[in-house]
Amino acid sequence: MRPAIIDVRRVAKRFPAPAGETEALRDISLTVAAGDFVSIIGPSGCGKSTLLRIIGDLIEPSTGEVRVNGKPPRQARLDRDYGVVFQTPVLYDWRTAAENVRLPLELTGRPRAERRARPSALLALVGLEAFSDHYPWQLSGGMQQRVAIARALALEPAILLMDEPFGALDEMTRDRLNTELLHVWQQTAATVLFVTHSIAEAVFLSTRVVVMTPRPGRIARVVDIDLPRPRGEATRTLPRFFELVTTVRASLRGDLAHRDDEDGG
Amino acid sequence: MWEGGKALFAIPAYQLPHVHEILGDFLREGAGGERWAWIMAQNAAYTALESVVGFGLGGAAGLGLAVLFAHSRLLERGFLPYVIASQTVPILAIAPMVVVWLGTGWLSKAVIAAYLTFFPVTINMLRGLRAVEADALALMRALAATRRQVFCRLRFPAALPYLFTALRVSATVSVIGAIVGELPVGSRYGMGVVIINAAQYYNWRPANLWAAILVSAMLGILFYAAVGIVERLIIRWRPSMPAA
Repeated sequence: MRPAIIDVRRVAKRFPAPAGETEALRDISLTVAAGDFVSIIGPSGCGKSTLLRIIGDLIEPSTGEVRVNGKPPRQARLDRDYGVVFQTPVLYDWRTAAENVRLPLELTGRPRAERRARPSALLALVGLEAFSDHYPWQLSGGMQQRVAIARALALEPAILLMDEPFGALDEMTRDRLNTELLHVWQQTAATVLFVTHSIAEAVFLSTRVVVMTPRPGRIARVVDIDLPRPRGEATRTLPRFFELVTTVRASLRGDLAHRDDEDGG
Repeated sequence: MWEGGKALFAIPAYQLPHVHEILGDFLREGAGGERWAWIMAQNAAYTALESVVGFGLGGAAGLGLAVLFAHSRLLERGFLPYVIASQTVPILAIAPMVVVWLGTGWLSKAVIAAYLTFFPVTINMLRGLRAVEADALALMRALAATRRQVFCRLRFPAALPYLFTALRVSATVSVIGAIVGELPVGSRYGMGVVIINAAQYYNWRPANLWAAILVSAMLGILFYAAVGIVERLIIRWRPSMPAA
């Protein structure tokens, strides 16, 4: 197996709540190999976004340890090992698409030539080269999210953290962006951690799908996705695709009913 | 509408002069042989200067305070109450003191205008600097941005629409501040002086006061519009700004 780029060991997270504490995550252990595309799926409120944010050092775990490239997440963040895409595009209104993509390059003080050339190249990668001078309000939701992906790739991060990036989009747009994301992933060789609540999306994209239980979130099962690559629209019609969707669905439901997932389906 | 209301409610001329009387007042010759239009224009220009300087001083002070408070909750908790208290004291009580301290020239009026101007800027700008989306900040964190970068590239531009809302309010208020500053005895120029004099001779020539009010209002509207134009030049990333 390839070396682990993300190593999560016995992580738990509790939030203060009006009555005592809310236990968001319990005893999460997970390793992600370099170059993997791992989806985290689970019911709403299961802490999947929390797990992503802990790995990205946006919040701290209550207990347990995370190593990224052998470093603590904080160091990895300071080394700009992460690219992050949120559920909303979080584009800055006052910047055009190209200027939004340029932001990470400005913050790290990259040379002027790179700051000029790289945004165009990245926007071309996500199919928006014609929209580089558009302001966010002039772009559709799907286009905005593609700009956000281009921005996340600006510093060529080793790890792409995606927190339900297509959750707010209609299904047709989502399917198209899924295919596009795989294309981008293959070009960048980044490791992707992808939070979603769509089973089909998780199966279509991933090398592995991590299924989580309702709160407090634990890992119910990790499903290896052995669908052939490159994947495209035809992948969605393969019998194996439906089998894997069924397996993931059973893992999700099996846990809700407190049963093993073997008899689900 | 003016004449209609006047006719409808049978308001006598000394309470509400005819429009033609008010406009005619501008053509009347004053004591020095100058037309009132010219007298008004000179005084309005004087008040405008005071307002512009006051607006600039107040805007800068308001902005500075907002930035300071945005950086430190401690400073905010320590000093914001005084900032609020400063606005609860009637400006009419403060104006004579400032005139005594700084003299009857334009500077004292500019300071009074600034005193009214800075408050909306501080409050609105502070809110704007704080009203940044959590994920927009998380993005900056993920990119390991420095505090300074977060301020210059996120908080400040995000707060600009708030700033301009405040500046629109401040634009009209700065004119009021300058006029109020001209009211205390000793001032020789400005719309405040014209208004005081016209008020004293109101029974004799009511149209004069109405003309002065008209000019003062125009001055406020002019300032408001000017801020609007600057706003549209700077905030270009929006489809279209609401009218007010």
